[in-house]
Amino acid sequence: MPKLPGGPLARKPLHFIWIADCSGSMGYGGKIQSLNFAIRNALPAMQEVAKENPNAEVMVRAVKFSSGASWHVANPVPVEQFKWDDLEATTGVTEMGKALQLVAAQLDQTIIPQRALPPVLVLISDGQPTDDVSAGLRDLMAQPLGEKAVRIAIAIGEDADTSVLQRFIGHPELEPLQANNAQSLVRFIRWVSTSVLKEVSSPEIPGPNPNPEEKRPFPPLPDPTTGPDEDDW
Amino acid sequence: MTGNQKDVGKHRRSAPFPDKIPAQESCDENESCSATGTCGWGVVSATVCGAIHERSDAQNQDALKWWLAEGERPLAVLCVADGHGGSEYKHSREGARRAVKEAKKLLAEEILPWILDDSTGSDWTQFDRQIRHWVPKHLVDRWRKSIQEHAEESRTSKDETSCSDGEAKDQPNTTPLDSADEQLYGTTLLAALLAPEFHIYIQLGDGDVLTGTAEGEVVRPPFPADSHLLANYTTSLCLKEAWRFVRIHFQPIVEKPPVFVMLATDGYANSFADDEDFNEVALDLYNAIRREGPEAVASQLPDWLKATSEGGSGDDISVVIAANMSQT
Repeated sequence: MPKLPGGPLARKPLHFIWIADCSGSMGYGGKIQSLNFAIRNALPAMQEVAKENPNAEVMVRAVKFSSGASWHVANPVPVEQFKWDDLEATTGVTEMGKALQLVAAQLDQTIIPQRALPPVLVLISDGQPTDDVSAGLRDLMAQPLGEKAVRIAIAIGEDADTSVLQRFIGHPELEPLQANNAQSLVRFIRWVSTSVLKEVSSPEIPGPNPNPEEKRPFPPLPDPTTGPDEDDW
Repeated sequence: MTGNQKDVGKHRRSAPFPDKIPAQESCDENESCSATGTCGWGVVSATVCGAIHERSDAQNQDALKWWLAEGERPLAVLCVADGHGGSEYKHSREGARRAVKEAKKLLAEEILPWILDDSTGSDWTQFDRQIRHWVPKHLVDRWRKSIQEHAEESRTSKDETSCSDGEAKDQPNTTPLDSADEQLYGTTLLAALLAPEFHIYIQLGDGDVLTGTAEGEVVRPPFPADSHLLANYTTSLCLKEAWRFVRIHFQPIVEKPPVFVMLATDGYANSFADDEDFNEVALDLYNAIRREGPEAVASQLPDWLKATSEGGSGDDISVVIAANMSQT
C-alpha cells in the first residue's frame, strides 16, 4: 500500500501584493513613514490570520511606483517569513499604470496556477497618475486572475485620484478607503491584512460565479472616524 | 439516422432497467465502499469531510454514487458532486446528493437501456450528437425538479411544526423555486458512463476526470476549456442557464479501453502543486487496487483522503475509481 497516494502535498497559494505610491508627494507630511509603519504594524496580525487557515499559503510581494515602477519585494515570500523593508519617497511622478502592468505580467496563469485562491491587490496612492493608467488597468483586467482578484484601494490624503482608484477596485459596493491621517491609514492597512485576507482564504468564497458583474461581498469596513488628536494630511 | 434508431430521451421501458440487470451500488451511509464485478471491474470510493470543515464543525458538502452491473459486460456509472458550502449555499450538501442521484438515474436508467437495445445502430457520431444535445438540459431539469421536491418537503415539515390546528397540513405547497432558492443548493457534478463500446464523461464545474492507459499514462478527457474555472470560482448546477456549462466528452473504445477511470472533487487535485503530482494519485490507487484488491484499498482510502485534505487544500474530498482488474 502507498503511504499516501500521489506526489507531495501542497497548500493553495494566495498571492497578496502591495502596490505603493512612492512619488515625491508621499515624502510630505510623513505619509511614506506612516505607510511603512502601518504595514509593519499590521504584519503580526496578518501572520496570525494566515496561521488560522493552514491550508492556504499566503505569499506576499510589493511593487513601488513613482517615475517608473519596480518590484520592492520581487519574489513571493511566505507571510510567516515576510519582513517589511521601508519604502522611500522619491522625487518622481506617479506612474501608476506601469505598476499595474508589472503586476499584470505576474498574474499570468503560467506563473500562478489555476488552483490558486484569488489574489489580493492593494493599491495605495496619494496623487494623480501621470502615465497611461488606462493601459495598466486594461492589462490587469485582461489577465483572468487580475479580473478575479480582490482589488482594494487606499487614497492617502484628499489629493488622491479616487476615480482612478474606483476603476481599479471595479466593485459597485466598495469605494476607495480614504485615509486622511496616519491613524486611519493604520486601520485600513490592518483591515486589508486581516479581514480581507481571512475572507479570501476561505475555501467557500466565492463559489459559482461565471458572471464578472456579480461581485463578492466584503467584510465590514473599519471605522474611518478620526479622534480629536489625529491631524489630517 | 437508421430506421431502428430512436431519439435519446424518448426511450421508455415498462420496467426500470436496473431491475433487469443485477448491479452493485455505492452505500450512502459509509465513508468508503467497494465492489468487484463479474465483468472484471473493481470500484472503490470514499468521501471525507475536509480539514477546514472539520475545524469549523461543518459537514462534508460532497456526495458520490456509483453503479456497477453484474454480468459479462463491463457497465458502470460513476458520479461525484461538490456542494459549494457556506451560508449562501446552505442546502448544497443536499444539492450534491441529489445531483449524483439524478445523474446516476439518467445514465443507468435512460441512456444505458438505449444502448443495450442497440437503438443506436452503432452510429456513434449520431449518438454523440444526440447525447450532447439532450443530456445537458435533461440533467439540469432533473436536478431542479429534485431540489424542488426537497424544498417542498422542507416547507411541509415546517408547516407541520408551526401549524398547531392542522388546517394547512393537507394543502400542497408547490411554490416554484426562484433562482435565489436554487442557489442554496449549488453544486458541481462529474459523471461517467462506462460501456464496452464507449465511455461518456460529463462535467459541470470544477473537479477532475482521469483515465489510465495500459501503458501507464494518465489521460484527461478533452473537454472544451472553461475559463470560469479559476481561483476558486466554478460553474454550478444552480446557475440560471446551467446546461450551457455542461461539458460532455464521448469516447468510442476503438482498441483497448482505459484500465481505470477516476472522478474526484477539486479538493483532491487542489492538494497538489500540479497535475503531474495529482496524476500519481490515480496511478497509485489503481496499482493498489490491482495489488491489494478493492476492499483493502477502500478500508484505507478515508484515512488517505483526510491526511491529504489536512496537508493540502483543506477542502472536502470525494473520489471514485473504477479499475479493470482483468487487465494484464
